[in-house]
Amino acid sequence: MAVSLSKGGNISLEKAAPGMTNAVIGLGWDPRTTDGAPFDLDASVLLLGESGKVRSDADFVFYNNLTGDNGAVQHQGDNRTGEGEGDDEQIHVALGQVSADVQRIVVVASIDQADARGQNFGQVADAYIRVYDADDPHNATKGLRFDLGEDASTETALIFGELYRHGGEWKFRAIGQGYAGGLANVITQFGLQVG
Amino acid sequence: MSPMAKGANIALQRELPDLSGVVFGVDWDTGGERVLDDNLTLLTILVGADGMALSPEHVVHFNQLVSADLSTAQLQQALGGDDEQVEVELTGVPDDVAKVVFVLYLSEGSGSSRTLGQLKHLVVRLLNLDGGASIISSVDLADGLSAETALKLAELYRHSGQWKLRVLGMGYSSGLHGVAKEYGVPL
Amino acid sequence: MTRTPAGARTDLPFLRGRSLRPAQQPSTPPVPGPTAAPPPTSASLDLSAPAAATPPTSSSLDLGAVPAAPPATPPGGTSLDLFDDEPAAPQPPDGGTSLSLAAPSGAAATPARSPHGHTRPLRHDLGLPTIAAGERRLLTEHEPVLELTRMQSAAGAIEAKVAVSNPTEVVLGIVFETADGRESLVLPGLSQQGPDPRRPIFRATSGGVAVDLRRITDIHRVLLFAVPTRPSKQMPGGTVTVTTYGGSRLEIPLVAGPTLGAQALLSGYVVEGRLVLRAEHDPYSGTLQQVCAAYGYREISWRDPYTPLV
Repeated sequence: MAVSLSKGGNISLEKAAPGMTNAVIGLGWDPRTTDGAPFDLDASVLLLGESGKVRSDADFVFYNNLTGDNGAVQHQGDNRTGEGEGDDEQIHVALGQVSADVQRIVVVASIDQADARGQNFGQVADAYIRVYDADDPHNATKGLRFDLGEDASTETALIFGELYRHGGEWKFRAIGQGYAGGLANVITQFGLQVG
Repeated sequence: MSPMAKGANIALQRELPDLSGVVFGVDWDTGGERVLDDNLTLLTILVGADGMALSPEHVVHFNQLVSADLSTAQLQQALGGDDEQVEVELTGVPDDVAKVVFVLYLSEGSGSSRTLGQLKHLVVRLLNLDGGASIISSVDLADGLSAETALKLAELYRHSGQWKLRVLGMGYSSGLHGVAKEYGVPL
Repeated sequence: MTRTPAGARTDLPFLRGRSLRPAQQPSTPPVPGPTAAPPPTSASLDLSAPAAATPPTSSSLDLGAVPAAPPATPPGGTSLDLFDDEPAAPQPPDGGTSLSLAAPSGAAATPARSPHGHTRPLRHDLGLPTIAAGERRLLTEHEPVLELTRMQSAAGAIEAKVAVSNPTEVVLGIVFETADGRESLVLPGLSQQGPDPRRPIFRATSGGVAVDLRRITDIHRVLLFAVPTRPSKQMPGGTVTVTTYGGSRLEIPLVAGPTLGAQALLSGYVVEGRLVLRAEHDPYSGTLQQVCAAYGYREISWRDPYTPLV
């Protein structure tokens, strides 16, 4: 049963998905039914080194940079409206192939052009982000899930959580920290230059 | 507490564990524009898990004031300064109702067309059905409206067994047609 | 059907033979005798629902057709004919639209109440045909009646339009009684909007009339009629369409032929929040004044038989 995360929740996936080697980060939402610009949610990850910052711009994997770390991280592409069943965006992380100097993988959900469009997560129906084991046949009902419209409702970007190395294994720390100001506001703290 | 923004939600029973019912109130200002005043119409829809109205008898409006299950009733005359009010007995809402959606639309039968963008001011609020104390109110939902002729004001919904209210303020320029289509209300 | 300007009908025996209704209930007011030339009377619609404490009474809504089986009437029942049976509209050979609005036997006398006192008004299933959004329906003599839902009766406007080859030859008008008992009418050239022109419920449109259903709670009953504009008062043939907000479309044939000035087309009653419509298929034509009186609109003052005072 997928664990529903609340803001500030802190759960380790160690027991829920022991030995997970291929993680899927899934982002989903319902397309807009009311008038106005469509809701364009984006999933992205930041690969952080020992310093807590990215090693280079290439460590930010998002809709405009689909491959990271020599293919260990693969973004499946941008969905601009939420049309389609299941996860609308996915990022695959082959944890066994991630470079040794990458210590943390931060997972972010954000709304594109949220400020210009006057949008926030609370207005998007059934917006969620989750992390689950690609190799687990029952993964649809497992893993960790954050309902973006509930706890990050008036925000436009959210650090969902991070995968991190510990004692030779990958673990997951839930964060659920929301931000106004969108993706740009989030990534600058990890060493990326924006604009 | 400060007015709720569009998209914001609140867990009602966290603040008020004994809450048994609410009054949803709508207060608008048309600047005295009579056609607008006469045609602003409230519609309350009891929606199932599939996102559709449970039945045509679970839609409340000026010509059907009480829902089939009796939980939801629009007042013929709103009290205390609101233009329209709907009472929802939360304890009486059937289990198969996932949410109660409050919609404001412009009735299109007068031959003159108006839009919600012409509203000077539009605020929704929630009161305790018991005693009438104010629980929350919203920001001005008229901000940013233009060609819309129907607006989802807010919705009461269940989350983890608790009732919550979410402020929406999102609409359609297709008026009642748009609302009816989204929620499966037969016209 | 034969019509004569004097109003004396020669086809009554034929009609009466067809329209014989078994177990005709006593109606109020009394039905005029068969030789009477004056226009038929109709009674007002009484929907008094049986009250909890009083013995059950029956209110029978007779929409003028032959009942398939006469509804049971307890003694002391008040039964009201909306339409006098002579001259009667052509009767369908079977299938009645006579309905008893008595509460179903065994139904609770007091309606259910929620803890906070919410109750629903009594709802009687009239058993009438309904129509879906976008559906087209020809209102025939066999199936002249239609009932709109509460939503259909409250959404947008109902628009009646006339479709004839030369639209200048006929105008549509509507006579109505509001919930507070006032009667008036809307007719292009005479009164474009009513009852209150500043806040009209009814208005003339290009090609017809419209009813603002946001005001359904202010409406008791209506009658849509057509007035030919030619000096000969000849009615052109064609169709009158009545459209709802949901795109449902009713069609009523407009029969070409001589008239005395006006022709009743469609009557409507608001019954428990629902608009019940009946295509009249009324071969009886008269002056506008006669047609209004025939359908029970007697509170209107007239300048002359063709011109009401509005």
